Order: sequence, then structure tokens, then C-alpha cells
Amino acid sequence: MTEQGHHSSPDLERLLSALPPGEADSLRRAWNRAAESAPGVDEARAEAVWRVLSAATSSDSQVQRIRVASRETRVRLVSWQRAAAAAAILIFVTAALLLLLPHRVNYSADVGETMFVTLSDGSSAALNSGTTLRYRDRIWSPRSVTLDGEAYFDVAAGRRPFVVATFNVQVRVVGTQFNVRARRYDDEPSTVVSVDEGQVDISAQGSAAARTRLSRGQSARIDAQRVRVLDDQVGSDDSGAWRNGDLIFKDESLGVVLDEVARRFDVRLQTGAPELRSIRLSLAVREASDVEIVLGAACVALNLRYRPVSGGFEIYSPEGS
Amino acid sequence: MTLPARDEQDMATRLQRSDREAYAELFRRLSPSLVAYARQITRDESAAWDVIQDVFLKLWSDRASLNVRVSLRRLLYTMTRNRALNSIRRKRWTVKLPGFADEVRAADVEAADERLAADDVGRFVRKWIAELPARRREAFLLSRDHGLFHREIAEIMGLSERTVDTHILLALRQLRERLDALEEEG
Repeated sequence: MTEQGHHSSPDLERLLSALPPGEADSLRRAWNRAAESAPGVDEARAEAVWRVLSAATSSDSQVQRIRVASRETRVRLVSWQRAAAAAAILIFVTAALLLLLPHRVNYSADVGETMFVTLSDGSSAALNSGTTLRYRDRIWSPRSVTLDGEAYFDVAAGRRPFVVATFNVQVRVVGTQFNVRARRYDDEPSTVVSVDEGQVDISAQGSAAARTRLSRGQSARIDAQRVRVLDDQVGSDDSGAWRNGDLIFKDESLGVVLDEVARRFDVRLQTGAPELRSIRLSLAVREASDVEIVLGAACVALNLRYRPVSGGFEIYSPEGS
Repeated sequence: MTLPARDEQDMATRLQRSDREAYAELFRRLSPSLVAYARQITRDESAAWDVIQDVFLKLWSDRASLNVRVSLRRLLYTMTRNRALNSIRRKRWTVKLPGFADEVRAADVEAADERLAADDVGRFVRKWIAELPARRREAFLLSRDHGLFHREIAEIMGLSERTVDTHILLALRQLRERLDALEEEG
């Protein structure tokens, strides 16, 4: 192997002749370098293998030949069985992974931003600020998403029901448009479902049997105690209005309003006295572009003041301070 | 080690007539190259020798039906390649599932590197060759270490001759770049 190392092959010369001389030389040098590293041969091993071959092929040793052949067959069989077992395990594990560990997709709209996502079945969801949508893409289960925050859904028609799960509600729908607001860290955690088109069935988590049907224009608020259908409290026109930048609250606590505004504009909003958070108000700011416009409107309505603090604003009562 | 074309035909004819001398000579001349080729694919010394034993057993049992017009050398390289690839395929099936396969193979390569460490540059070159993409490395070594014609390599590997040309040129360029870089450092 080493002796033939240094002269290059006719094929190599043919290749190199098509290159500029400088490059041809440098490549020939690399070729010669590679030759110096060629491995040697293990003589003892070669000898041992030859002894087996010699014995197995000699005409007067039928017995040897049979033995070698049978051993060979057995080895093949074992490895075939192993391969089959391995294949079976592989198929099983793959199937289990596909079916039991569904493909998870996580969409998050951070505070200060909104997001539009299209799901694999053609449905879409607009995510309000500070919202996470988890989508479990499982083969046979209903189309199902988990929502933490607020989103407006436009569900593509399909045979399987579309399910939105929040921390306390399941919303089942077939081809419709609706808004779900599930802010579990509000002062009074609740989920509000508002239907724009079609129908949805809602049921509190853990009591799937007790379903309430909501039709076009209807809303429902689900809190720890009960399911309340609010026919006019939140008009259907307003339920997804956040998508245009509108901030609309009807008989909502100031705490909830401030949290929502803080998410929208990515600012910190605090109240001087904690009890201010429970004051209720109704407020509509169309296409709110600035946090101070919203704060100004809220303060005028409630006769409060606001002032800048580090990272945001504080809302306080002029009498209290 | 190499086998001139006339010898080769002669050898095939003698094998057909169950000439054990010819068989022994063939083993003596070709087994070092073939085992190097098998080792290159399996990266395992024992597996490589198993492949060679298998190939030569098969050659003897099929000697009567040898086609003297087909190059013996090419036949043996092709048989070695197929069996070596089968051997690593079997190894993969049985070893890969628990997740050790890559570590095992890496350890094999390191051991082989140490065995082959003749001088420093030689060791580097071995390592660089080992790092070439598998088929490029195979084509390169068949030409470099085994002195096969590109036409033969193309037949053995089931490629076009042009592809073999390209593999070898790219391998050389890659090695040259590494060498240049090494010389700049030193």
C-alpha cells in the first residue's frame, strides 16, 4: 500500500491537467501527504483469517465447511430477529409518540403586541396582548386549543368540534366567530365568551355535562360560582373590538381595566390605595394609541388623578393624598 | 498487492479449476487492501476481518461460476463493499436504539486514530480524511490507497465517473486547505 503511495494515478493527472499549474501542484502535494498516512495491516489477524479460510475451503474437510456454514446461518438468523424486534420497537415507539405525545405548538403575544395565528385546520385566532395559545395537534382528538388571555377566533368549518379550553371553561364550536377573554389573574378571575357568528356551547371545566348554548350576539361570563349569560352587557360589536385597538369595558373593575391597559401598552400601572382597584367603571376608547389617553379618560370618569412613576403610572385619589 | 490485468484473468481461470495456490495468492495480495476498505466503511477492525473472511469464502464457493471477463479485483471490492455496508446496517439496528451508536463509533475512530499516529501531520491527515463526507472519503481512499481507476471506483460505488472525479477533486481541495492552515499555524 505504501510503496504505490507516491506516484499519482493517471486519473488524477487527467483531473489536474484541467487546472491551473499552481493549483495542480498544491493538490498533488495534498495527495502525497495523504499517502503517507495510509494504515498498515495486522499480519497476525490476516494469518488467523487465512487459517479459517484454508480449513473451510480445503476439499478434504467437509466437516469444517458445514460447521462454518451453519454458524454463519445462525448468526444471520439472530441478527434478522434482532432487526425485526428493533423494527417493531421502533414502530411502536413512533406510533406512541405520534398518538400519545401530540405535537405541541405554543403561540404567545407578549405585552404590548398582538398576534395573528393560523392553525393547521385553517382556523385563525387573533391574540390580544399578554396571551398564550397552546395548540395540541393530536390525530384523533377534537381540534383543541388552550387559551390563557384573550383571543378572537374564526373557526373553519369541520366535522370535528373546535374546543377552546380556558382555566375554567370549555367552549365547543362548529364554524363560527367568537371572542374568549380568560384572564385568570384578574382581581375577579373569569372567562368571557362573546359570539359574533354561529353558535358555541360552553361548559365549566370539570362539568362538561352542564352545557350552555350561546348564539350570535350573546355573551357569557363564567366565574368561580356560575355561568351568567349577558345579552346586552357586552355587545357583539365590541367583543372583538380590541383587534382594532379599541379598549371597551362595561361595568368592569378598575383593577381589570388597568391590567388590560398595562398589557396593551407594556407599562406598569399601579393604584395609590389598593381599594381603588375595585371601583367599577364603563369605558370605551376607540383605537387607543396612547396609554395616557386611556388613563385620562378613566380618571375623568372616576374623578381620580394619575402621575408618572418609574416604568409607568400611578392612579390615585386626590382626596386620599 | 495490485493485480495486473493479465494475471487477473489468469487467476480467475485458475480459481475456476479449484486451484488452491491461486486462491492463496489472491488472498495474500488483495486481503490487505480489501480489509482496509472494509475497515474504512465499518470503522471496526474485527468487523472488517469478518467481512473479508466472508468475501473469500463466498469467492471459493462460487468459483465455478466466475465470469473471467469481469475484473476479479472489481468483483472483490464490490463484494467487500456490500458486506461491509450490511455489517454496519446490522450494527445500527442493534446498537442505535439505546442511543450508544454514535459514542461507540466515535470511540472506534479515536482508537483507530491512535493506532495510526505515525507522525503528527500524518495523524492530522488521517483525521481530516475521516472527517470527509462518507462517500467522498470512500471514493478518495479507493483511488489514493487502493490505486483503483476512477472507472472502477464508479462501478464499485454505483456512481458515474464524473461524480467520482468530483468527489476526489473536492476531497483534495479540502485536504489542501487544512494543510495550508496547519502550515500557517506552525
